[in-house]
Amino acid sequence: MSEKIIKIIEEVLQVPTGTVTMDTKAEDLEAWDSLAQVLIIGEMETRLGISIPIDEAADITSVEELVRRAESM
Amino acid sequence: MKIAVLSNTNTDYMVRILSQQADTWKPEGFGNVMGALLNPNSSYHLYMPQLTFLFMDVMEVINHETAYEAAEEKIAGWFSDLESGIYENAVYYIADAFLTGEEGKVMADPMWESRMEMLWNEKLRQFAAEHKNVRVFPYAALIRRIGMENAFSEKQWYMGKMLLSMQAQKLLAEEILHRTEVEERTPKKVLLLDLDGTLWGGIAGEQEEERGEGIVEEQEEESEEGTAGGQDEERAGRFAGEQGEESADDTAKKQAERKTEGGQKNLPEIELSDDHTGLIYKNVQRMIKQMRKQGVLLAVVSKNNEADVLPIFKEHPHMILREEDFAAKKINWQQKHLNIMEIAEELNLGLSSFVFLDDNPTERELVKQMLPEVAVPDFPERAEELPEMMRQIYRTYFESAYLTKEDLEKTEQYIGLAKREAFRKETVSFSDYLKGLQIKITRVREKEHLERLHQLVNKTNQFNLTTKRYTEQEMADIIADEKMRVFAYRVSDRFGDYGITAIVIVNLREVPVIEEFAMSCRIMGKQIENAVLYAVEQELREAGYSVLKGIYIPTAKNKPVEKLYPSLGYLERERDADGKIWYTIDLKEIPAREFEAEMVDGR
Repeated sequence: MSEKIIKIIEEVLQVPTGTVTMDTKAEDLEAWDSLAQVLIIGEMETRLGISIPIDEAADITSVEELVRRAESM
Repeated sequence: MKIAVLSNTNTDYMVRILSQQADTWKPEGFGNVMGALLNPNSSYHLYMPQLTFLFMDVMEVINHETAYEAAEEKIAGWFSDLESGIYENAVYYIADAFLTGEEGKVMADPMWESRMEMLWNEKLRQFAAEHKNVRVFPYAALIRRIGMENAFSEKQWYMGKMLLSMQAQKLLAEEILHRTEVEERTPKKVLLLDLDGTLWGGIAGEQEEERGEGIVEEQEEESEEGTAGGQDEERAGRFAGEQGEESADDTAKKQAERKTEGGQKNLPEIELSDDHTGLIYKNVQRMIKQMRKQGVLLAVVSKNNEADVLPIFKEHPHMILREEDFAAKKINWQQKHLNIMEIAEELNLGLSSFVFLDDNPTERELVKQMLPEVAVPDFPERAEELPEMMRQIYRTYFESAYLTKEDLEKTEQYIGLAKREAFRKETVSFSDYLKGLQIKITRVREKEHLERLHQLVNKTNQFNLTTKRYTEQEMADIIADEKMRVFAYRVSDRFGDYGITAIVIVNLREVPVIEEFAMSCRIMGKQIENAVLYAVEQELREAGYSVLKGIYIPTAKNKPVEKLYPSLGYLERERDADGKIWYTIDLKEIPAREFEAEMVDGR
């Protein structure tokens, strides 16, 4: 699961494979802005069927948290 | 070619993809479509795009009016406004309708969505018919191609007003680039068609032996040509060999088919019918016929006996293309490139306007070598791939940005087109438009909105003159500080309330200086900044100050406000090495400020 999520994030941010790791946080990468956040949450739902509640969606801004949320579902 | 995308939904991702491949205008925010079009000084107009793509979520345009009459009025109003915002020397693509919206899910009338879409599409069709430079963008067809569940994302919509998924935005970006290319290129004019294996399956010439000889002949001709050196000869020869083997295999199958099919009296047995492979060829002919109706000239280039094939054109019940559909016919045993040169002469057209379609790789190779100007697309192995090949040929070579009058005259379906419905012709100026928005700017008590103001200052990147960031505590201190003055505003218009979206922080310790001026991109492009700044200037002047200072600190994102102070009459005083600029204005001589908004003190 974590590989799939990281792949989506790298695709959204348009960064080379390997740039995003489990330790990456939104603040580490300039490309991870609010637009990217919308795309990441949206694509996780469209492609992986992981629906993060909208009230939390803007605040889950690290790879680790995203993966944790995904795995708890 | 400079392009721009305007939408009342968030299409930032699409814009980002586009800007990697074309000169693309970067909007500040989204939604202010008419603002960008009607304001001659908008960053959109200053960019001078030659091609503008308008994607309107129709539900937003009709402002969720579910009654037809009310919706129709909104749509008419939108096109009427658009009339004033478009320039003759630019080209506009407007998306057709694909209605989305929650109301649709509980609508008792199952035709409601399609009727609403029709309202938009009908107006759009008329508008495009009236304007040479306005075209329809096939948005709905693209959505249907990938399916609604892949095209839309509710989560993205609610999180960021982003209607379309990444996949859909990528697809639209591709189509935009395709249209851009179509606008720039000169389309081909003539489609040269082989017959056997191209317009129908099988071989019209009766005897298998004859066909065999034909191939041997071709091989000999190839080597006699001695065209472009040994390697090419070898390749051409190999193709001929392969073709020979294929035909030998195929003939046995076809013989068997013929026996079962029965076929027409006196006509050669070919695959062209209403079933199976025969239907594929028939449908490909329908596609070619449609292209002819849209102005593509057709010509036959076939190695055959006229006596074998002309009866097919005249009498075969499943032939869609008839003799009169062809501008030229070369049915003989002469080499094809010679025939093509003759056709070019007869039609008085350059070879670069020709596309040559033939299932035989030997013939394709020969034409490629002898006439490099002629476009020679590949031909698929399987019959079922033919319709997709034809679609690609149309898109790659023949699709034109618009059909000319001459093209249209050939087409029955356009006869009697569009009795021009008069769009409201009176011009709408930008200030009329703003007046119509009924903008209201309300000063709010800053203490009561600490959290929002902190967020506004720290999250705003585009309309932010200094991009200073504050902690919540620093913000609270500023608000409490008597030597600091905070101006915070709530903005609304007839489409809704945008919330607290503008803030100015002035430091009064020495000469008053605007330390921070930030506005949400949701309210940009409506001259609201003029109104806000005017209010600040008035208040300070009345408090007895005579000069006001402004600061601009450039960042990667605040280019849209680079010229804000000078455009409002502020004078540059100082500029340091990293681009930070200090401005001043004499508060007793403030020039007239243009804006259309009602200012309210809500404190």
